[in-house]
Amino acid sequence: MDEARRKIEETVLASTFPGAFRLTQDAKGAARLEVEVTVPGGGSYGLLITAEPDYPSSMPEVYLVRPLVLRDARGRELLSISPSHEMHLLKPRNRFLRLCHYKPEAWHPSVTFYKVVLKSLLWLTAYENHLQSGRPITDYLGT
Amino acid sequence: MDSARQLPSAAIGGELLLRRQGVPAKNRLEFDPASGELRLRPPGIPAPAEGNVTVIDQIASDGFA
Repeated sequence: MDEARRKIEETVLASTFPGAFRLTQDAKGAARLEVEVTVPGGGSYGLLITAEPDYPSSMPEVYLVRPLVLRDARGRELLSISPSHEMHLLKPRNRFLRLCHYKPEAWHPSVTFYKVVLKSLLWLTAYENHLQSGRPITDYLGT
Repeated sequence: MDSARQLPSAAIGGELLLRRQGVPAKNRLEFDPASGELRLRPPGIPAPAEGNVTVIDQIASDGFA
């Protein structure tokens, strides 16, 4: 991510998640965004969004880093059933749940980390509804 | 589900379910930076002029992968 894009990302995040994010980059330009989000009346979650140096041309990845263990409505650890289409989970990495967000064909360099966080917040809201209803996350978010 | 035990997010979940079943959206789905949370806003009620509220109906409907 170049410097101009980083400034855009930081400006947007500072106005939408003030005090709740940390955006860093390594020497090669790969980026890490850590952000705290809350589901209405529900839990707080820590997300880690990683992006390769060629972001925003390439799509970032989203990991759930807090809490470490999430279970489905039947009590199974979500890590143990990943990847899962009906729960919109990709193959995990480093023991972290990896959330689905944008479809590759829908990804565009104009999409910012902010919108990826909003997608993730929708996933988490659907997850908390799943815990109450037992319905798969695809029922809430589509296939 | 017992409505007395519904989570606040259940209203959002109910709205998302209906949309997936082809029922036209009843409310706008928004993200409010002031609270840091998603919320529903009934039609006809404008978003506050201040506060950077983001309507995310499109983000919710364009699919996940």
